[in-house]
Amino acid sequence: MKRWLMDILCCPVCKGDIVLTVTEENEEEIIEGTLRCDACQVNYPIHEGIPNLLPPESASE
Amino acid sequence: MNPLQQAFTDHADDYDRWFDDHPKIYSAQLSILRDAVPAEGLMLEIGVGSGRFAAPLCITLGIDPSHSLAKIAKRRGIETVIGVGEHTPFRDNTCDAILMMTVICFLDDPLPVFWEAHRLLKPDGTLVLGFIEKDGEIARRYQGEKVKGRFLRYVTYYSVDEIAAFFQDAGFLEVAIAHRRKGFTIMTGKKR
Repeated sequence: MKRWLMDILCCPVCKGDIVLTVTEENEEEIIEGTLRCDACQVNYPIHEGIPNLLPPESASE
Repeated sequence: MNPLQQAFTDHADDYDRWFDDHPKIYSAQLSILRDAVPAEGLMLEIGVGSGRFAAPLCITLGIDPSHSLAKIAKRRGIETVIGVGEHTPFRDNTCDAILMMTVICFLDDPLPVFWEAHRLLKPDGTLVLGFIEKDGEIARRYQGEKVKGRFLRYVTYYSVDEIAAFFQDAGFLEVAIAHRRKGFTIMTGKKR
């Protein structure tokens, strides 16, 4: 996931701000980490460079 | 995971290979889309799949619920997010154009995705929608085909009038038909 994506990303449910935590990054992009919505108290994972922002309901289906 | 998502997860490579096995249809669809998709600014494909349309059309951003397909799209250079069109993780007024190519037929309820597309587009932004028409020639042909049939057994097709109503209900103006042949149609709508 490229850094510029943070300019347009928001929580898929409440559309509020999300906070990025990076655990692995290379010169090009963020590889592993989390995107957290404090309002909804949900952590969305970033894995293998792809953020998973499926709302909790659809992810559990 | 619903049966459709399971089918895309289990058969992502088959889905992607279909385009190599049907080069004439693929290149014809691409050529039609090139005329309909405005090629400037930030473009998003909702239901980007494996990126077969986004990559050659220079669409930089994609969203799809399937992990397997998102990985392939990412390899094609598209900034891909796993998510659903009914609840997209993007801010208001961010996109110049949005493409949905043969996606609408897979949705349980298409209208919320039209609302989201309208929310994401900047004023003057365009939604481009490619779809297989209800009772059209292509709809009948795909039903009998193995690979396409595997995914398309779960679909609901819509008529031009029904799709136009979705555009209008979501607030789009200047709703128009950009292409219509053999039951494959491209419609566009503008946000004002």
